[in-house]
Amino acid sequence: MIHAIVLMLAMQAATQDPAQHQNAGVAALKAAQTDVAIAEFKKEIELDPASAPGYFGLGVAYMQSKDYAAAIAPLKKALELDPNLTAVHKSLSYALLTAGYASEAIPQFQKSGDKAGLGIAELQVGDLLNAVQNLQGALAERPNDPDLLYYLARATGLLSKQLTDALIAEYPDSPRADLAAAENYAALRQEQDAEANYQAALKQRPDLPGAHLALGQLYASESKWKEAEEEYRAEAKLAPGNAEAAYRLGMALLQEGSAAQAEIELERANRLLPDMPETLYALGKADSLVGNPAAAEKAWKHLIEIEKTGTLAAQAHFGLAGLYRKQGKAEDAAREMQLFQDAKGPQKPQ
Amino acid sequence: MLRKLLIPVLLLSTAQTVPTFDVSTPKGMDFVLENSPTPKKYLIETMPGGVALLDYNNDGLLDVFLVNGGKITSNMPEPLNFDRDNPKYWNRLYRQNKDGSFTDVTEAAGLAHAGNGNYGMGVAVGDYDNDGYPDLYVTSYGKNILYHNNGDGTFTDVTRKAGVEGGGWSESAGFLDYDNDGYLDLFVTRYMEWDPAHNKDCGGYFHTYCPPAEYPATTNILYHNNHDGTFTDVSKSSGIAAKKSRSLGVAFNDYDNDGFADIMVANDAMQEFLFHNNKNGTFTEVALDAGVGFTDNGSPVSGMGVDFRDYDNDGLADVVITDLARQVYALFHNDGNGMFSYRSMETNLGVLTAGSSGWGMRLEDFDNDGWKDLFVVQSHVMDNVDQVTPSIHYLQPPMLAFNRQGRFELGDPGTSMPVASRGAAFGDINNDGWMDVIESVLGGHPLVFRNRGGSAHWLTLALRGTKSNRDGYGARVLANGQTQYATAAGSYLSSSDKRVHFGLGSAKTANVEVFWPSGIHQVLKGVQADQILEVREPEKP
Repeated sequence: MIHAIVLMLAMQAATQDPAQHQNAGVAALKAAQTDVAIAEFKKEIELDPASAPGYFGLGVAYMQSKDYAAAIAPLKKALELDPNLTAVHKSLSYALLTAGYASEAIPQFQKSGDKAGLGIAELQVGDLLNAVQNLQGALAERPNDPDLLYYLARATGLLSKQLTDALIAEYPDSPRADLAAAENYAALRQEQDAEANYQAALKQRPDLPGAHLALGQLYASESKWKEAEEEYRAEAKLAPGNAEAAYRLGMALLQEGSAAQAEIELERANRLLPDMPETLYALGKADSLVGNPAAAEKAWKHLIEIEKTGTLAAQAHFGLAGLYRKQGKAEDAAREMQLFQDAKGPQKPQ
Repeated sequence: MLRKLLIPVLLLSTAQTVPTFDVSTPKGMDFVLENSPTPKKYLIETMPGGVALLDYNNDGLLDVFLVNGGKITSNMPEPLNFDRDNPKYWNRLYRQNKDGSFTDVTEAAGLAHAGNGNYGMGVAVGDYDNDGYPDLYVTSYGKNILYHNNGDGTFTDVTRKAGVEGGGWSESAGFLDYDNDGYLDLFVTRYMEWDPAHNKDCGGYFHTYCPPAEYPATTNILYHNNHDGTFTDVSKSSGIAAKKSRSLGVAFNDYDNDGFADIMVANDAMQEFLFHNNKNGTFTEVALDAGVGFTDNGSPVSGMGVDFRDYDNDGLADVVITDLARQVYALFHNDGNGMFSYRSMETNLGVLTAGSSGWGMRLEDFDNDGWKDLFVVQSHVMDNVDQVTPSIHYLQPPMLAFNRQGRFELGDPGTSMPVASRGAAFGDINNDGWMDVIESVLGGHPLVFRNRGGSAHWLTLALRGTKSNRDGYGARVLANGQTQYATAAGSYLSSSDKRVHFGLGSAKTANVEVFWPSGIHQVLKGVQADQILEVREPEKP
């Protein structure tokens, strides 16, 4: 079969008909004979210098051979000769983008209506707001495309940083700037700087939404539970409907050994946002510690109904095993312990 | 008027019960713990070394034995040579002089050289032949050594004859009489299957030691004393070797008060072990069923040091395990009926220890108020953890937490200087009735924490077994509502003063009961406080 194509191509190379070279070039492209295709399209252009398809074919052949820079000139010539060849826009835009000419690629992508390529090109030139919009549009058409997810994540991350930098540069003394800087430091695990900036933000605006919560989480990450409790309490006072503040306050109280107070806050969190597995687990723990095994059992069983596997489910089974053991229910305890082991998943062999 | 007068009196009383510590390296104690850290991050480098407080010459003063590591180079060809012939890498025995200074008697005692193939780890002390002189068991990466105390200031290596060389990577060890036959048996923890050729570096940009799960687990060892200077390895027949682990610490107590010693083992990053003594020479590992295997979240901790004592004076032995920062020291309360509850948070240890990494430790009454406090020597396992995780620190000061009727409050251990501590032994070094501490420091001199004491009363009992083992190990001792257990084991890699100490608060006398391992129950009424009293086991019940 390959011998037959080569023989046919050899016969066509001798002809003076541009159309035959066009056909031979297309056939060679399909057969991944890139060098042959380039030669055929060059011959076609030589015989017919006004052949837009000839230049298009040559550009595509260069792209197929990964020589994107070489593809740009013939693709541009093809468009010059026939601006209505819409397929050329798409090829030229990718050739420009891949060769590093993102700015030039953008109008081509706009003409071809390719949102994914356009978003990537905009990301490369720093037009982050449009990049995010176009990549989101492309992702809606191709959900879970790993390349698009990567570029969108990168674009949103950079946009976030850009906006934060702008906020800090334009309004350096504002509480929002302090808050943004604090979050940056916290992400970089520079706890002291983060704490100073959170404190500065709250000094200016003690009612800044979320700031007490974030500062509390910073303290919690350093196991400074008393300080964390104070911040969560402040957030809960500012936003009594905030279930997360109530939950985190309950967790801090648990860490401090104040189970009865923790139980009150965790019950409140559960009322504000019911069926959160994290809240149910902590609530069961608080119930157990204050000597209310029936409530603990109820919370942990409800958690397991919602979330059958994973860490929280394993912890709930472990808690139930301990609870049943102390009640003398050996069979129930053994069952829960087995479920704990199962929910934990496979362990590294000892 | 009366109320006005009472307030200063109460304040004075409170102030007098809080002791302070003088912290220093004693005169004459020039030991440096040579762990030889290398860029290769061989895991053994960060694990030594033990310290023992013992009265090896029976002069009434506690002496100090310190275990050294050895020389490690980045290239460790077989056969391994840790250069233990070099005096720099010797273990050291320091005899305490009457003026509180120490004299190095290592060479004269026959304790120089510990075998070039052995990188030192820990030490256990016990009179295994009941001759009245404490013997030494030194653990190593390599082979362990049993030194028999000849009673004349010298020791003899009797390892081969005794059959207790172990092998692999041994860590903490302890003497106990698990079958109550009057002779001390020996429990040896082992960490993992590891050798330099298979060492791993788990760092990215920074070289770091690997977590324990990167290496296969191994078995612990139980040696039964044959009463003739030899031991039999009963690890398999006793059930001790039925489970593999990565063990670092061991402590003994009789948690169900059935008269037989049980064994608590601190395991690193896996379930802890509680070996329940079946009273027939076998053990059953019951940690999960007893609720002492994991924290209340079902999570393992990086167990390193362990103590097994009654912290809340309810007569039942509780468990405290030290671990790494971002965990908290695990306290398991003995609820009775063989059940424990995780109580780190309720006792305030959660708040006090979340940023700490602990090794040697002890529940002991340092302020003599009748409640056992917690003293922990600290340091992270990774010497470059500050670079990897800036909020966690390699060098740390010790932690003293006073026990205020079951809830712990931070005290002053006498220094805030951060060091890389590992082993710690506890005892009354100057016989003043106030418990002192000695810690080993990686790459540095040991530090002694001398308790300056206060006004509270105390009682120290030196047990002398007759039918029971001579050290009285395994005796349960009650005094004025407190319970102690006679053992030198616990902590990490270390062996403490074998005498039994009670803080008596304002009481000037104590009613004492001793439940000897032999089954003999001895009662001493109205014992005068503020004395070190030898209590001899009666020949008959």
